[in-house]
Amino acid sequence: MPADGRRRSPLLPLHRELGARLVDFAGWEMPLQYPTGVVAEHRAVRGDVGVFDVSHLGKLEVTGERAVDALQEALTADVAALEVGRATYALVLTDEGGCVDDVFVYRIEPDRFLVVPNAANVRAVREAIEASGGTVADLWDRFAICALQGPRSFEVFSQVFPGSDAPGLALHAFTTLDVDGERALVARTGYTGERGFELYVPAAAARGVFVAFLEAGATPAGLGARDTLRLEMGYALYGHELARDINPLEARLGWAIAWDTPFRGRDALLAVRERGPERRLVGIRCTERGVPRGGYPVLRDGRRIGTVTSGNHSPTLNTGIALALIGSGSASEGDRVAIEARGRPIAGDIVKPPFIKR
Amino acid sequence: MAVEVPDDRRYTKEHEWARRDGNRVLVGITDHAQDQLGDVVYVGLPEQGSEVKAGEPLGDIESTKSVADIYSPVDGVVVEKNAAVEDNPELINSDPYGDGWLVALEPRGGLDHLLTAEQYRRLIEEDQA
Repeated sequence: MPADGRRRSPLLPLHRELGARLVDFAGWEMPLQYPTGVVAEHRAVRGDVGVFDVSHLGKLEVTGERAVDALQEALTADVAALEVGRATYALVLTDEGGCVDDVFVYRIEPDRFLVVPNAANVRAVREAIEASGGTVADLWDRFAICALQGPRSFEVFSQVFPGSDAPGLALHAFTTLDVDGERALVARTGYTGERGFELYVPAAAARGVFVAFLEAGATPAGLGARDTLRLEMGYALYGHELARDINPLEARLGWAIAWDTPFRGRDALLAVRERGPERRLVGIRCTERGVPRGGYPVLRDGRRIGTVTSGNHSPTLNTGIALALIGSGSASEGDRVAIEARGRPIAGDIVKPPFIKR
Repeated sequence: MAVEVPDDRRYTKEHEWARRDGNRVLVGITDHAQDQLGDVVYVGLPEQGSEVKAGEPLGDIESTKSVADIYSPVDGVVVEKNAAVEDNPELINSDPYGDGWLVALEPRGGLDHLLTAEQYRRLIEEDQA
């Protein structure tokens, strides 16, 4: 780590050349947006193709003969059943069943995994895996992570890597890629709701790959657009829909849990499943002008029923959208609610995410 | 990227502009302010007839990134709000000094207490230093 404590993507000089507005994100200096702006970047990903630098994501390598058992305990996915060349989404829970983080785990070899946590949670996830007996190496500066996303992502990828078999991969599968003689990893994963790839590129080769995507027509997109894109899909974000005091059944993430595996937090979560979660995550689509934000109260018939966890303007729907935790049974799909935005109510309807159908 | 600061109007430290238009005063936010906010997606404006006070919020403006108050440059009464920017808030990004104006006020008093273009330019240069 540099002396000032800041972690830097190998692509940072390129972002500066592109005129990016930079933001501190969990100690990383990352592009929030480029001069094109959040809305245009969002639309490029929905309608064409965009490329993101997401090198701030954690890069934990877990190896050794204890790797499978450790991950089977530390993560909620069935890691033992994961095939080599496949990735899966998983949660890391506390003993009480709260969310420490959500991760993607890639099985690279039978006894070698890459675990990708959120930037802010690298230490917590590492500790959770080590507490389960895993051997972990933090590869934070070895490679950059580029996400190429959008309906034209396959075309742009094939133009840059004409020989690669990656476009033939199933969703959440990955393969290796030769970049200037270095070995990169390319996965059919993403966080936008569009088809696309995430590439783990050795640091020295990262600039060449990012520039090649730009030259082939991809729009550079920042973390601002990444957030509005994930919100339209209703994807959870750590610190908003995922937190230690929110359990995954409240957050509608029960699908990410392999109940038959011995994961940490299982007993607590079984009890929640038995009695039913006290709160649940819903979508709210605003029917009046206004921008919902995390923390705003949600009201029904003038009575507070919950709180917005994430909200913003949806560039696709041209209206405010929000994810909110509300009391179980307090409102259901189709019900009219109000979000109290700085003293002013914004009317909206309860909907089931995603807000847009792909 | 250099931002525009036209000489034909006055400015506040909170990045609003005020320009005489007959016996009214038009109010908007500066090019610098819209550049800092990013894509504007919502603007909340006071109704016609509302009393406003210099230095107090008269409305709010939101981008995909953040919320900001709009402060009135002068004391007065709102005689018109720009309905076009409520429907198309992106006008504030594309034309902050023209079609992106926010309200027209009937002022009580003049604009002399406000910053000149030269003083405002210096303020944003210091901001960026």
